Amino acid sequence: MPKLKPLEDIPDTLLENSWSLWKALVKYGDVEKRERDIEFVPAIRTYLKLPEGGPLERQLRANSVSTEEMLEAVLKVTAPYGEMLRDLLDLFERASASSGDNNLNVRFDFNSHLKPLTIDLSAFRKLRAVWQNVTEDRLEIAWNHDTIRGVDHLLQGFEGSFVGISPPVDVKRWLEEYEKERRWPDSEPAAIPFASSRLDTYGHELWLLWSAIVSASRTTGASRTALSTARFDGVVSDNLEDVAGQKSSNPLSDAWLLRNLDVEGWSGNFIRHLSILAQVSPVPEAIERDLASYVDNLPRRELSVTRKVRMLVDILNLPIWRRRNELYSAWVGSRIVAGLGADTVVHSSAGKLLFSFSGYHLATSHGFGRKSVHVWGELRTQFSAPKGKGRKKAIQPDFSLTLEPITSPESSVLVVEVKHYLQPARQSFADALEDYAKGRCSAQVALVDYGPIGRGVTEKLDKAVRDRCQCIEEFRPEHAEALEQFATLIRNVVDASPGEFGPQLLAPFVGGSNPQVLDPAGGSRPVAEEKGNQIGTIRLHWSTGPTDLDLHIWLAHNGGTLSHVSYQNKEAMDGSLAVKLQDDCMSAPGEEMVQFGFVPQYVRCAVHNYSGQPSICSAEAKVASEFGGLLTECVAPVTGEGQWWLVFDYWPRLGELKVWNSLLPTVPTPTTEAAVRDKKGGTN
Amino acid sequence: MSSTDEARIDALLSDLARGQAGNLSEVMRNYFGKSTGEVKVSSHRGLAMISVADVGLEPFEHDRTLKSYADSNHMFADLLVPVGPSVSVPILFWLSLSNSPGVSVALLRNPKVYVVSLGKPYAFADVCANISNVLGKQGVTVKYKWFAKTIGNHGLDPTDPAFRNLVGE
Repeated sequence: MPKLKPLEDIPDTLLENSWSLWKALVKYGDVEKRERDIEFVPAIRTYLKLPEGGPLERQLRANSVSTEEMLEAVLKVTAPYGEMLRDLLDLFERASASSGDNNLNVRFDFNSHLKPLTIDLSAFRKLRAVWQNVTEDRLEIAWNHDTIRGVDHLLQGFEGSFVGISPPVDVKRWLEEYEKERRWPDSEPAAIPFASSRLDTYGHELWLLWSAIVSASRTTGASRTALSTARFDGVVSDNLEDVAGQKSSNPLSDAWLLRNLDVEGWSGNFIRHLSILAQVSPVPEAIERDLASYVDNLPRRELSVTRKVRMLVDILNLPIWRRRNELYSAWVGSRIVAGLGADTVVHSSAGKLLFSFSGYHLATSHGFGRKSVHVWGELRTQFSAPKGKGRKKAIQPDFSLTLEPITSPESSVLVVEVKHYLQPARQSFADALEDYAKGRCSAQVALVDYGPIGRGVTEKLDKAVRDRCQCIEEFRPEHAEALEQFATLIRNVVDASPGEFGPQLLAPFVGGSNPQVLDPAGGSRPVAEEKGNQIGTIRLHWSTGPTDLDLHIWLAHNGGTLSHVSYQNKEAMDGSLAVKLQDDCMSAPGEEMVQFGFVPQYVRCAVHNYSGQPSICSAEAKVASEFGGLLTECVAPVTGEGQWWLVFDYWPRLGELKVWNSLLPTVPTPTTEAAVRDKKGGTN
Repeated sequence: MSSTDEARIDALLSDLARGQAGNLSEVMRNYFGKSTGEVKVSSHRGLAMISVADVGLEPFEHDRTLKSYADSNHMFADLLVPVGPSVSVPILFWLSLSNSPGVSVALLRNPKVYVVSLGKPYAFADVCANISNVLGKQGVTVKYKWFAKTIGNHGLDPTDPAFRNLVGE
């Protein structure tokens, strides 16, 4: 029978032994053993327990590694990517569900040297299914002409029960082109999930069959008439061993069979029936039983080594495989979204889910009370003095979890940098962590790497930011510990009750006409106005609990000078005027007060629990501040963890107050950029 | 079936059983090794329809295990028994669960025999096309209108050249 050749055929001789198989993968699977796929060789060696060094081919030969053992090793080292496909498919399905578009396009556009890659959800589902078949030793259905037609007859038999239901719009569009124009449409309608989860499994199997038949048929030509030239060529082998062996009989490579199916319009009938059945809810029990029984009783077969290799080569030839760095980065994004929980919406626009170097808003989580946590990819923010090579006056981490306003670097609560390195580049990793920690002064910063990192990266960091940085090595689907570490990090950063964490941006307080008291839940109530002789005061009072709380004030003044006033440095001067801490109180009940003799450009107020135990939550602590008639009072959160209570940021000259009212493990030192802002919100 | 035909079939099967028949014997020896050590040979239906099957499987004419279509394979006996005396090279249908799915044909040189291997599942279209092909190579054609109708009932085009030696031009 005539064979279609959608991809270059691999001679069987190349599958006779492991070293030939490796050559075949390098040649036909476009494996770049010295470049992009360099990770394969040591991983395969490890799996096969081969010594390091020397050409792999020679080692395979010397150790008499069988084809099967080699294939297993290759599948093992590529398996993490199959798992990533699963997680990514979950992410894409979520985006698809929220967009209402069941065949979403996913676009990868990171690499200036490669054209952007777009893959639709249907193709991605197929890729995932093929990968599963190759890697999970699943039995595949041995479809042939009779069974392919038989299942269509079965679906056709159900049709009478569903009068009045028509196919969805994208199926209708496809049918129009297929039936009236007699051509194979360029894109396929997306798989339609069945309402019944049991039937959905069968429906998915049938949709994959349909999609495979259509794809194979299309390879003969865009017009359906191209198939009519297919003839049965009646190959007769001279050697029965060829026949008796495991020569593959894949109906999808049999143009004669495809032609016979198309004679009666199988593809059109099948998708019509399947798409109608998918919409029926509930499906009558008899129909569910008949369909399940038919599919369950179809003959199945193990995938032969040859077929596995061919399928593997098909996968390795896919554009998405060649861009595994981007795939990996997108997968990390999927783990972030998974970590944020079910209330997270994955964003798509105009039927597209975008992963782009120019920045993209991947998702928003609404699962944290009044806060919305936004997940941004490649969010670029200004930073004056980055250390990392290639960074100039800006930072652009792979992922930023940010509160509102997202344009403010201070709104970031978690920054994730993704590395797909085989060997750690410790200085480069440290530079990235430090730049991001300093540029996003409120954020925890994590660097996740596909490979090992080892020790010594965080030790290279500036002490001021070290506590906020961490590395997660070997971050891959099969490493449960790394996944848990990452999930815990996300939970710790954002999984807090409302008001515990993150800024609650209130309307700017521009004068003293509306004094407020802010409670931990973010509510407010007016209080009596009180005025002192100073330009401003910030007063900390606590009643019980920890004996020693310390008031810390950071301020920007005199054109950008940053000062830190606390018990360690009780005074900051601006000419002859001072901002001064009055007393360092070390017992409860206690009070500390900072008096302002001049109006700074910026004030950050925080309280440190110097005693450590018990928590600030039990201190009944409150901070009252008064500037030019504006009186505010913040009460410490009653739940949460952390030795620091970040109270607020205030820009007196702009009349802007950002209340954080959050417990944190550390309080970031404000940057000059964040502190000194002009009226438009930009930096001076 | 003439006594000469029977003698040829017996000789052929005897060669197969003794494992002294070139490529086929080699394969059958492998086959014996893989199975329980026995194969079942069908009652003779002439040189165009000899059947060998795993123990536990019915011969081709009665098979219900490997084929994927509902119709009985009696129809192939109706086609092939009449042409038994006309074929110069016997046709042996080999059914085994260890055969690859579908239908494949091999021409063995010693003894000269067409071996039609049938694996689970095999399809009606493929059986017809392969039989038509094997008959065509021997210059044998059968022309049955009823079979053209049967092909049509299976959703196939009876005028397809693949079936020309079963239904005529």
